[in-house]
Amino acid sequence: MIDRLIARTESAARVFLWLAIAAGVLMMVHVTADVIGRTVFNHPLAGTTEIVSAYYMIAVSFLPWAWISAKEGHIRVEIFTASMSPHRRAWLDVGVTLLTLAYVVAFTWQTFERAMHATAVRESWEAPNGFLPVWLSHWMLPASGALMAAFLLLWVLAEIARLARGPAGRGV
Amino acid sequence: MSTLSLSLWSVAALLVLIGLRVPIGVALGAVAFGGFWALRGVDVAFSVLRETPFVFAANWDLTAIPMFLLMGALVNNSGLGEAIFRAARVWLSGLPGGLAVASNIASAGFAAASGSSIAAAAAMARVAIPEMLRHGYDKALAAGVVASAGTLAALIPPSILFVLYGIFAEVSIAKLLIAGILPGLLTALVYTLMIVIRSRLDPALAPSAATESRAGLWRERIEALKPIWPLLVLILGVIGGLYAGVVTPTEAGAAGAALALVLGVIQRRLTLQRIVDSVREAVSTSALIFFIGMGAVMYTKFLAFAGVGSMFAEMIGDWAQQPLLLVIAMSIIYLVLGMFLDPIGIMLITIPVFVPMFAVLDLDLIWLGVLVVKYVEIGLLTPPVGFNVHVVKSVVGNAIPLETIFRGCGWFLLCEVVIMTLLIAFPEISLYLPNRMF
Repeated sequence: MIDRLIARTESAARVFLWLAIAAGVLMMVHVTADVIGRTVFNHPLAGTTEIVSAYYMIAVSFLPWAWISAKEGHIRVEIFTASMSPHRRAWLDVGVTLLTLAYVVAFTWQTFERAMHATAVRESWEAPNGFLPVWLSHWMLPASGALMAAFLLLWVLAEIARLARGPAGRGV
Repeated sequence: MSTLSLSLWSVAALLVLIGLRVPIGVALGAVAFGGFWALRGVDVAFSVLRETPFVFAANWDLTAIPMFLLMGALVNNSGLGEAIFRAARVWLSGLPGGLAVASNIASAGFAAASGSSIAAAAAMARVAIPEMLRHGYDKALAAGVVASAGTLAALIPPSILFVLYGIFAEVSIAKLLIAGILPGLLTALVYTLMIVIRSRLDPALAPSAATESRAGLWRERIEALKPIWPLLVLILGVIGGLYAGVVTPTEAGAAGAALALVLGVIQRRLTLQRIVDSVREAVSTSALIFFIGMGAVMYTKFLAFAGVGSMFAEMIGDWAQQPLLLVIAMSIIYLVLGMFLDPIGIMLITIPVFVPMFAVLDLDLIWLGVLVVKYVEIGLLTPPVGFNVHVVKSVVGNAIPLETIFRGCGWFLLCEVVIMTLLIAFPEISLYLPNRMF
C-alpha cells in the first residue's frame, strides 16, 4: 500500500522535475534572445528580467525538491555517525526525516498562506511594458513543499514499519 | 538572553544538527526559526518563513547559478573536457611530469567553462587519471593533481561560489568573477612549478610520456587545438563580456550555455538525451543550492536581527589596528570547518559572520570574497570530508585508495600555503583586474 503511494508520489515528482527542466531551457533561450536582441538589434525583449525571476527561477528553485528527496540528494555530513550501528543510524534517519518533514510542512503552510494572499490581491510586478502578474507563480512553492512533505511522510512510515518488523537494519 | 549567548547557542545548535546528519538547509532554516521565535515570538518566525523563500528565489542575480551550471554540464557532456586534456597533453608532455602538468592546465581551461569544482574534478578524473596511470605515474600524484586542480573551477569564471558570495555579501558579482581570474592563474602556476620540480627531482614519479618525433609532434599539436576552439569562444564571450560590462553574469551564463549547446550540436557531440541530462543536472543542483540558500538567508536575517554586526563592531574595537589577526583567525576557522562541511554550507554559514567584521574594519569585500572562496576550496582537499577527493575516488574506484589521494593532495596543500600567503600579503593580486573594469 505504502509502496504504491510512494511510487505515485515519485511519478508526480518526475512531472514537477520535467516542468523545472522546461523552465531551465526557457530561461536559457529567453535570456539569450534578450542579449542578442539588445546587442545586435538594439531591441531588448521587454520584461525579461521580471519573467525570468518570477517564473522560470521559481520553477527551477522549488519544483525539483520532491525528486531530490526521492533520490536522497540532500547534503548530509556523515562523519560523526559513521561509527553507529546500521540499526541505530536507521532510527536516527527517521528522527532527522521527521525534523525535515516538520520544516517542510511549516514551509508549505506558510507559503500557502502567502500564495492565498497574493491571489486575493492579484499580486503583480511592475515591468517595462505594463504589469506582470506573479500571484500564479507563488503557488509553485506550496505545491512543491506539499509533494516533498508527502514523500517524506510516506518514507518515514515505510521505514518505521520496516524497522518495527525486525532488528536487522538495512545498512544505510 | 543576550545577543552574544543567543548567537553562540545558534551556532552550537547548527553544528549539532549538522553532526546528526540533518540536511544543512534544514539545519539553517530550523535554527533561524528557533532564533526568531526566541527573539521576537512565533508569529515573527512564521512570517520570516512566509516571506523569505519567494523573495530569495525570484532574484535576477541568482539566475546566474542555474545558467552557469547548465553551461558547465553542456560543455562536460559534449566531451570538451577530454579534448582540452588531449590538447594540453600534446603541448605539455615534454615537461617533467608533463601529463600531470597537462591535467592541471586542462583543469584551468575547463574551469573557464565550468563553475563547480566538484563537476570539474569528476570530468577531469575520467580522462586524465587513466592516462597518467597507463604511463606509470605515481598514483598519489595522478589523483592529487586532478582533485586539487578541480578547485580552479571555483576561481576562474564562471563560479557558483562567487555568485553566492556576491548575493550574501551584497557586492558586485561581475567584479568578484573577474577578481578570481588572477588568483586562479596564480594557483595553476604554483601547482605547475611544484609538479615540474618534484618530477625533476624524482623522475620515477612521472615517467616521460613524450613519444612523438619533432615533426609529427607539431602537426599533432596544431590538430589538437582544433576541437577546443569552442572553449576559446566561450572564454572570449563569458569573461570578455563580463569584463567589458556588456553582459551581466546571468546573461553571460545563459548565452554561454546556449553557445555550448549550439556548438555541441554542430559538432555532433550532443544528443537530445545528453542535452536533457545536462538541464536536469543543472536544475536539480540549483534547487539543492537554493534549498540551502533559503535556510541561509533566514539564518543571516536572524543574526542581523540579533545585532551580531554591532556586537562584532564592539568586540573588534581593540583589534582594529590588526586586521591581519582577523584574517589569521578567519583562516583557522575555515580550515577547521573545511575538514567537515560542504563548500556551499561553509560559505553560507560563515558569510553572515565574517562580512560584518570585514565591513567594520573597512577591508575590501571583493578581496575577502577571493580569500573565502580559496579557503572553501582548500576544504575540498582536506581530510576527512574532502569532497573533491571523494569525487575522484568515486571515479577511480578501487584503482587508488582514499588515503593515497589525500596524500597526493598534501603537496598541493603545501602550495596553497604559498598561494594564500601571497593573496593575503598582496590584495592587489585579487583587486587589480576588478578595479580596472569598465
